[in-house]
Amino acid sequence: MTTALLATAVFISSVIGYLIVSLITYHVWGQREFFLMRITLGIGIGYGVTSILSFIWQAAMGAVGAPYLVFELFLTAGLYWALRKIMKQGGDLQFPVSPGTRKKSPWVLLLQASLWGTILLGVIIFVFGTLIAPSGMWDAWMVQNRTARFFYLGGEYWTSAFSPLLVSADYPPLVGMSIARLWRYAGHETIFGPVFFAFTITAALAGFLISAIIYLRGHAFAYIAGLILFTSSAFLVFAPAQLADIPVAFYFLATIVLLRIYENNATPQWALLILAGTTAALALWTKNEGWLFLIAVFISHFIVVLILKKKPVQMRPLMYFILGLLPVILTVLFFKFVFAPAHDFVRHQPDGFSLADQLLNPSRYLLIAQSYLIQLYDLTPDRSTPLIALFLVVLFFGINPKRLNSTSFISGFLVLLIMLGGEFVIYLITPNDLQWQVSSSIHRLFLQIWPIFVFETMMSINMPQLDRND
Amino acid sequence: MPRSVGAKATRIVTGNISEEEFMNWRIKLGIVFVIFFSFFQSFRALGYYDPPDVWKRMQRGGQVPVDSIIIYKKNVSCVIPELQPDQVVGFITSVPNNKQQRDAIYHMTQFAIVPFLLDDSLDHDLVIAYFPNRVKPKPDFPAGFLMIRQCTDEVFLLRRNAQ
Repeated sequence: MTTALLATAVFISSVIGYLIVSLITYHVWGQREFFLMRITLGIGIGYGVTSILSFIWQAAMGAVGAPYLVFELFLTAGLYWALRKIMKQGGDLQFPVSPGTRKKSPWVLLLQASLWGTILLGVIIFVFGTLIAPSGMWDAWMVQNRTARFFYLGGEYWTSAFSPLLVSADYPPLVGMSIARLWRYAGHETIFGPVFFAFTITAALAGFLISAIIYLRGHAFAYIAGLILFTSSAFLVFAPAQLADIPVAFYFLATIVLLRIYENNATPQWALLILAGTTAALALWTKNEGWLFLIAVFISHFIVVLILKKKPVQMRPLMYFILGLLPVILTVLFFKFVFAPAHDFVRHQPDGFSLADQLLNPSRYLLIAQSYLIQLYDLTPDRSTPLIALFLVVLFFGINPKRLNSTSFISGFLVLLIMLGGEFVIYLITPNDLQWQVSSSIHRLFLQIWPIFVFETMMSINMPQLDRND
Repeated sequence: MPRSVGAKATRIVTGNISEEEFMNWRIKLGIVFVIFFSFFQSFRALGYYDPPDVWKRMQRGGQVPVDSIIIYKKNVSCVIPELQPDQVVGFITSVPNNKQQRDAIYHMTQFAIVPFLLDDSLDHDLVIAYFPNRVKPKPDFPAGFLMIRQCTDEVFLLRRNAQ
């Protein structure tokens, strides 16, 4: 019964997300094509939207109960009605349909079968991880699931979740709110709540990456992209760990992909920018690293437009991006200013802490740089995001200079570079023990941007034999 | 797009092309590498979760999976009825002051007593004491506190003595 109720909760939030995506992108993708991309995007956006709505409901009413769940049903019905209305007005738009598969090359079949094999292994690893540690890894129960318990069990004292007595109480609550919402549907606190959330968001991430590559470069590339995603054993190990790294990775990836599809279109599709704004903001509703990502997206855009294209910044695309960003970012600011305590960095600064000393200490630079370097080739199961493998993939498949010089690739690459640079600076100034801080988090930071690395690699490699666009 | 190019593109997308047309040895090698490395890493990830241990757990069958957090939460649960809404509870433990171990116990206790708050001090009327059996001899409770609940032989709830 619990499983059925949790599945219902996931289904409802996914349908809400799917309907929102379908409504916004109706004139871009129609209502029949690219189902996998819309449903996987919908799962992430559905979790984001329902976590925001339940947070606002809890802040306004003091508790989230049955009336909220009824509200979600009305919302679903309303979105469905709106989509039907648009469909009636717009007619059944016909979009190019992928040709059906007839006889595939044995190599493509091998790729496809291998991808299914690794997906099956991924599911087994998830089950094993859940059986070994059903409460998830350290940060999962200590932060995300603890916050979820405050939201669900706290009653009128739910805001104790943000007490300065707690560590990391300033963390954005998307994961905590989503788990609490699942428990509300189930009617009780169950370990399967966070497990369901972790499984669906991981599946959505993998599915979205694969479907995006199908959309942009064709099936064979998508199979390779999926296989490369799973070469990160850390991705597979962390999937059942219930941490916020995979959810935030989903929103990072979704933003980059949506921006890429927007830039690849000959005619501007503003809907994609609105969605990209929403997913970028949902990243900072998931983890504080989202702020760095958002800054990186803006900086890379300005660099590409002002320096590479040598054009003035156009306000219209920015406005659409901000339109998607605004509702979520207002909620984040409401959370930060009204509820969240100061960040642990600020609250727990040791006596005698000197920012200048930290910045002028060359050994800190060396330690961080070494850790970055090791991360490139580290194959330890719970740390591996093997960027070196991406270099090998590029060596094998070749690189398309035309794609490499495209502003959209440079833009994505700049985002990654700024993210890595930003994290480097954060490590430099952290008041915590640097060795501990780096060793306990660097692999997770790389994991958050690993899907973007895979996406950018797949977008740049050169296999004209398999490329639908060449 | 010229007709012939379009037809070729369609065949490429569907994979319905001859092997010669399809790729050269370098790309074939690349595909083999990606497949091999993906399985290699997946099996390493599988090994991380100790399959023999999982197999033992599965053989027990039908049980909800359990870990140390769940067991500890259950052990501490008997203090909950004694707490008032909005109450902050103190904490003491005999776990040696090894940062990681002590932190783990402290955060597990906080996790277990949500929605109540835990403070790592004795400046409160109620204090949760965790005195694990492995620390022998067990230390006495801090002066000025009485034990009002014993959840297990390791977890206790203490109240500040009014006098």
